Amino acid sequence: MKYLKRIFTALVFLAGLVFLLVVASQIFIPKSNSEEAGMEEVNANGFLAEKENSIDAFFIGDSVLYSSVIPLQIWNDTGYTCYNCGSSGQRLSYSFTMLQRVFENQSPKIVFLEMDAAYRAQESGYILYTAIGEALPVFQYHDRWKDLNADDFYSEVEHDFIVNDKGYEYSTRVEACDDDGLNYMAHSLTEERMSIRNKLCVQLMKWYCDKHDAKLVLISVPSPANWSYARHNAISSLADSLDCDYIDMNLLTEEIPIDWETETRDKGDHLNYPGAQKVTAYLTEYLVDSGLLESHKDDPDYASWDECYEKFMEEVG
Amino acid sequence: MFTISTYFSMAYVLLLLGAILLYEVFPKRARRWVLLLFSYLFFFLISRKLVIYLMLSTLSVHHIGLWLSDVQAECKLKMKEIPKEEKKALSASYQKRLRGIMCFAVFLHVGTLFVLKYTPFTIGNINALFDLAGISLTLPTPRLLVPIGISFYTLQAVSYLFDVYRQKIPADRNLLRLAMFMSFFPQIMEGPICRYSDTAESLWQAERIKYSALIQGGQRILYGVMKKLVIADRLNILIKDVFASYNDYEGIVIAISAVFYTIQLYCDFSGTMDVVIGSAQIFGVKLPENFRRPFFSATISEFWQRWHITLGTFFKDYVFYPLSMSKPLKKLTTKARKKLGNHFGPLLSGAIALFCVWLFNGLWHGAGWNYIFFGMYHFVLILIGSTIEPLVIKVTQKLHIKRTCLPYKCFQIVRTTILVMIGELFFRAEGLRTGFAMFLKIFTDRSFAPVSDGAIFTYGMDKPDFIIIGVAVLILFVIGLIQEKGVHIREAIARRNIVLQFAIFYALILFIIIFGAYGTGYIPLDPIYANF
Amino acid sequence: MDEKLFEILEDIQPEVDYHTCTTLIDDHYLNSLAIISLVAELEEAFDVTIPTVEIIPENFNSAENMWKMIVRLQEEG
Repeated sequence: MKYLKRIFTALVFLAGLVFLLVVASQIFIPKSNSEEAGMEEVNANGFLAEKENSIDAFFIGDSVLYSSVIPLQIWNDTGYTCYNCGSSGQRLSYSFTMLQRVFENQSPKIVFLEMDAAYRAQESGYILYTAIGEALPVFQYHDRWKDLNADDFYSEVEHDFIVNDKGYEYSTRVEACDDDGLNYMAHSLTEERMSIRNKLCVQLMKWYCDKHDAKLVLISVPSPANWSYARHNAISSLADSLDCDYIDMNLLTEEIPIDWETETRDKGDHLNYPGAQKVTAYLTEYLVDSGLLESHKDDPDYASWDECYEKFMEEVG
Repeated sequence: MFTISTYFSMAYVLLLLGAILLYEVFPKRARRWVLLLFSYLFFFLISRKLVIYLMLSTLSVHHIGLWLSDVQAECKLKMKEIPKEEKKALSASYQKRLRGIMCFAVFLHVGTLFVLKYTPFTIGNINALFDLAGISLTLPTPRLLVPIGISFYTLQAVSYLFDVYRQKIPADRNLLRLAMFMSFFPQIMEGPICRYSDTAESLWQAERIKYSALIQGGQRILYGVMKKLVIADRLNILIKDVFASYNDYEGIVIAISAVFYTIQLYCDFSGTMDVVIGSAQIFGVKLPENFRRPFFSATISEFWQRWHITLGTFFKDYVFYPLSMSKPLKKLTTKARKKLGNHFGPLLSGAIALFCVWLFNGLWHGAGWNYIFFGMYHFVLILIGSTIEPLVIKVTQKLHIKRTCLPYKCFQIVRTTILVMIGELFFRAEGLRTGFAMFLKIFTDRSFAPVSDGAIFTYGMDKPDFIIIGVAVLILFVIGLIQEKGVHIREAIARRNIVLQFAIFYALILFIIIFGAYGTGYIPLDPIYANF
Repeated sequence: MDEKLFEILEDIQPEVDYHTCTTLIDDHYLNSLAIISLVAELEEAFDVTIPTVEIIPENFNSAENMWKMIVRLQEEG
């Protein structure tokens, strides 16, 4: 009897705690997706403010991705709507979180996962923390106690901050790659091992895309600082085992001729705008060839994309 | 891989929950094994294959303990058989043998610690000497892997052997019990340094987990997490920058950082102790306290009876008294007393013993001249304190100041705290020279600008950060004040109704979750004491 | 109890009532230097050797306990 009573007390206690955390989460969650509202990774999460089911394809990955893929260029060339969910130092568990967010309001036909993050370590604490933070945002946004206002206590969440460049980060900086960095894709038979955790994340994402009838494509954007043939081999086998496409643009030097003197912003780590244009052009072709998407060019519902493109062109100059 | 580097990690929480669950499920006899298993699992996770050092230490302690005890038994037996006049000689010869064993044991255990921890420091200094003498010879510095926690369990091993040697406790034949004493997972990384008589028996008993112990242990753990996450980690933002490049900061900012570092060190270490002692309490093990509100101390000497208590008592029992009571020093005391009187007589041998204590204390914290300086700093302060005590009494009497009145006590407390903070500045500084430079800068660069124009809020910690630190420190202060009055807070809470108990738990948890310095933008502070 | 013990104590640290106080160590009436003096004096006055094991707060918290320790050590010796 005493034992039962204690278990009951414990349950009541836990229920109370969860209730409090849910309430606190309501207060602490940013009420919009803008920087001012306290949103995390504003660029990567900008799709939250896009119209429901309006985006055809998503790109998920880390900083090499947001420096390489220009959704508005794809829009202008084809009328397809894409979003670039790249964030600095993104880990694959966050990529999975991102994917789940995507499918809440969008139903893309195709999802590209950039594989640079496959070799980024994920501590168990980090994974647990992201998972908890996603379920109970108070853990993630607790630091907003510094700028809570009255609105936070009664307003509903409304994502209304449109990210003009759709996740791409424009940069024209040039810092040439060292000569010895250029031979980074020397042929090799070895495979660089991925951690089990990271592998599992990719498998989960594949499963999730299948569930939502989306095609998952693994890609690697050109980056001498990050890529190697051993990594290429490992991702190729992973793609085979998952039965999905893998596009390693590091090997496509003819289709995507990056000039490492002028088209990288930090010595071969990230591409700058001219480099990104080439990568984007190649991916545009891939999208067209896939035949999965339709153009929205003349659809008045998508007029805002043209405005975004014009603004982007002003920025580019 | 799954690694644990602190008691404030998810991994430790999982490990603790796992241990509690298995401990509760298994019958009494198996519970001991559960504790031992988790202790070794924990040690393996923090030190990997270096776990072998702990095993060897435990085996050696077990063996030497029995060896001492056998020799003692043999001595007793022989003493009965022989005539009275020969007893003294026999006892002396056995004492010599026992002393020999002890020397060997200390050499073995402390020697291992010394080689692992101080080799690079020693070689570095030898090389510097060579350089100074113009000898162009540089000894290579080996990179030795030091198992975390060795400074703590080695002291436990030594204390156990000394206690057996002094016949304070019988040698333990049971290897399991001894292994549990040496490796108990909550305390192996950062102490408290336990005596065999403190914990071995309660570990061995492995009593069922009591509901009240679970609740009170849980509260204590949360309180520790609060200290660490809300205060220590948040302060780190400013402290690490200022100490890394003090030249970029004004004197006043350095002074503030010294104050903050002292608060941080206290919150980190005593917070860890709260987690450790709370965890042990759940398993029915009462670990000795390591802190007793040190910032209420009137003198430096009192401070060290309230800060890292178990290290202090270790040095007192195994270094200070044995040295000051050794035959030559005893003679010195008696002689000096006749010549110098009561006050200054014992000071001489006391000072010699104290010097050794503080040299060891400084060295124990790490191989570096700043740690040795830290030890010497406190040695000198304590010595000065003892020397001028009669003078102070006379002066205060002349000035009609009551030494028990509140203002005088406050003056003492503030003075002691400032002295401690200066010591911690050197303790934290990156090298002794930097320490002096920082200390000097406080007095040479006396601009108050960063405080008056608010620039201080741009050095990593903004205004809300300062405010929440202030609030949290105030909470600590009030709780400390209540404890100083002799109230046992958690027991007082346990007597209240369940709604209030829940509310306190909820408040503490929410306070930590909201105001803790964790997540994006924060880098948690590495446990400071685990590296000592 | 021997008057000599009280004389020694008074000599080392006046200001304390040794007949009633039972927290000499716990309340810091006797600090470690006082203990060093005290042990040296006691050994001389009562012809005993006080080993380090005996130097625990319990044995020095009151005059009575000190006396008990001395008697015990005399018997053992």
